[in-house]
Amino acid sequence: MDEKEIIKLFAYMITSARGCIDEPKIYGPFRIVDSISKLYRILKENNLIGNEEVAKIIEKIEDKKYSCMTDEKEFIAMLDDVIDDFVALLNLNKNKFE
Amino acid sequence: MVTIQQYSVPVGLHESSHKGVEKRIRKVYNEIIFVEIGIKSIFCYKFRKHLKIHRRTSKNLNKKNGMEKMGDSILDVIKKRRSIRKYKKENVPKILLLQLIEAAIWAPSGSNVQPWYFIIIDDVNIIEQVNVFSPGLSGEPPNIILICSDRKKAFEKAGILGRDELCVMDISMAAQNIMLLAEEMGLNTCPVKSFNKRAVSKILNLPNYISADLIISIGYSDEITSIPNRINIKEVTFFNRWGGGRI
Repeated sequence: MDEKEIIKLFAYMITSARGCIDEPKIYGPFRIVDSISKLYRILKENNLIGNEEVAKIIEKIEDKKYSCMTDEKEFIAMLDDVIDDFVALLNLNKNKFE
Repeated sequence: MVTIQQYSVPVGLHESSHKGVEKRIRKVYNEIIFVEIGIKSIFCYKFRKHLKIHRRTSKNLNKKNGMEKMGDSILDVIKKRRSIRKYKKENVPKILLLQLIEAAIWAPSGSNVQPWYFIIIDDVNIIEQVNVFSPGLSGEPPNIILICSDRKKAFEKAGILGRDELCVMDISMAAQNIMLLAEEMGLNTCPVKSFNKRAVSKILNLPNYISADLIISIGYSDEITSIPNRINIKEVTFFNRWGGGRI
């Protein structure tokens, strides 16, 4: 794995943490979601994740993550929807992940 | 065909018929303008091609965005502008970036201090470094402009008001000029305030009296945007006094 990419992600996350002190409240959830996108990209590029269900969830996140700036309700609905997806994913694949 | 009057650049037109424009271009971009006529022709051809392609792309995107009926008035350009968070991997020609700065420096400025500085970043390695410490910078733009202000100069000329308020207003108006001209040129932008000033200042070697105020990402959009909500003019406008003369 390219260590630099991970270090960049750490720097992004710590910068986000600092920014969240002064920035609009909604940016906090957005930065976490964006960090997931970035982490997923690194894992994918290094063939460390290949689950198709996860790929679909990430696609859903990518599609709606910027709605936090224009339509907060849509953003929240996306988060709820994605949580449902993860619940389903982890329950359906309970044996697989144990 | 884009006309020379719109862009103040030699868009494939005969030199002798547009000498005034030629002179102006030479003055502003003397490090870029090619004196040899042969080379200039190539430049003109490239530029003409660029504008044709990107105005067409911009038109297509606008059609998809439901904006196909718009013309080219200033109000139309204002309404067409969107904050773009996904860019194509295609560099913006340097001359266009300099045109944007030309627009910026003609923004109004309190006490005419003109406290601004513009750092055009077209080096991918530096963009990458800035990007790490700029959570608001999305979509891997090929170019960014950092707008800075000289707070020391502003204070000396316009006091606390100049340093703390006018500076912010000045660079905001300059930024809007950049974004509107970019839109008109078929480029796309996004103003970004979510970046760590301390980190970015270090990366770009800014002197301590220079404030890194706003990043504008610039490139060619690779996304279809929706039309954002706007509060109706009736709800935000009064005549003569607060609450008076509702439209």
